[in-house]
Amino acid sequence: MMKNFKYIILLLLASLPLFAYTPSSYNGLEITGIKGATLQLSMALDNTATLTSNGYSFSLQDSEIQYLDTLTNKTGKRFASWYLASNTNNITLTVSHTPLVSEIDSSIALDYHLALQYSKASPYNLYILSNMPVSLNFAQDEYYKTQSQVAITNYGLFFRLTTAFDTNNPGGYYHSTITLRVEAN
Amino acid sequence: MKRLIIILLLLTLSLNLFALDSSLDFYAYYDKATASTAYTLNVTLSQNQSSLASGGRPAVNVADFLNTETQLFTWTLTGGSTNGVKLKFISSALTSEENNLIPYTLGVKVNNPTCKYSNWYTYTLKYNTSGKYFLSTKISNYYYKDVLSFSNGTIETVNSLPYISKSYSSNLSETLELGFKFYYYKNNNSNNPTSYDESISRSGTGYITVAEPANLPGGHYSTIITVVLEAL
Repeated sequence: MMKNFKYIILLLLASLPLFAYTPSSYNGLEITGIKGATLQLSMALDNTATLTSNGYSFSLQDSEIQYLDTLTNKTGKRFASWYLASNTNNITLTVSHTPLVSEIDSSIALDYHLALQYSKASPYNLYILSNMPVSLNFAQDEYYKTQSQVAITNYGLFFRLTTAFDTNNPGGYYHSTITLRVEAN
Repeated sequence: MKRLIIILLLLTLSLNLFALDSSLDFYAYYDKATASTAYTLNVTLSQNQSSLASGGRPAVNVADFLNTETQLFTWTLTGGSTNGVKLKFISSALTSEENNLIPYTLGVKVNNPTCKYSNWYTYTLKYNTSGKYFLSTKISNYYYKDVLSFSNGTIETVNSLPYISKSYSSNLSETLELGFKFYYYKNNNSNNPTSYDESISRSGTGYITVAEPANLPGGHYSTIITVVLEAL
């Protein structure tokens, strides 16, 4: 009996160091550096939670997107963000988008102003109509021409209809694609 | 020369790095059914709701409905649109857990419409040559007409009011549709009706009648009646 007890104690002692020497988790420190020219460009929808549950970014009945018969405050509803990183300001951004087309009746195409915020200084936004690309040369922009680089993080994309919404339009989903292109000059 | 080619290749590679595209697809949605906040639909069970506590099954005996028209619910809709509105009653036969079916008939009574000017204190149910039923009335020099259309059912008049019924006899969903389109005429200018729909409200009741089931086992028999309001 005593002999068995000794074996049990020995086994317990032998197992303890196994736990004591289990290496704890560790993390390396990741450092990212840039050498030479670099460019990063991306966009993301703001309302991904809504997209998951309902499958759309906003309602066409939203008061923030309705047509305004005035040239001021046309920005509209923010629905997405964009990111641009460049270590030179000698670049040109081109923005375009398709109209918002009904999935039920493709002949129903709603034009809209896309307002793309690009600067912290006035005029802040580019306004783009459907199928009419707009380009911006950062090297010639009032704000960015004094900057050696361009860093845009989480700036907004805004939507506003360019005509009054016709309630006779078909219900359901409407789809549009926005395209950004950045090129070195 | 060889070095020049390599330099040009490197330059080409670096230029490619400097042209990036990004695209973003997004969807907007137009919920036409709620395009006007004026639309409302209420359906209220006439049966004792406390008896629905157990899994949504009314604790009533089907035998109570046998060959007896029993009021099941009331419905009220307000608002409308230029093109009218439609009520859909979607249902199937009463079904047991063993998939035995008891057919039933749903009867929908349409009450006298009301609008913001006056209750329709006089009304006439008429049938026109295009197969549409309508209620009409005259208040001062204004004429009102509420055209009623339906599909997948039969119509009769009960106490001068329309009563549309449909039998649900299979385990597949079937739909009874009622359409309402309200017109307003001034001085009986029926050639130029002005839709004037948003102020009207309609109401009615729903009735259930169950035919005698033949040799069916006892137990729970249930169905769901889905009532949908659509703008046209």
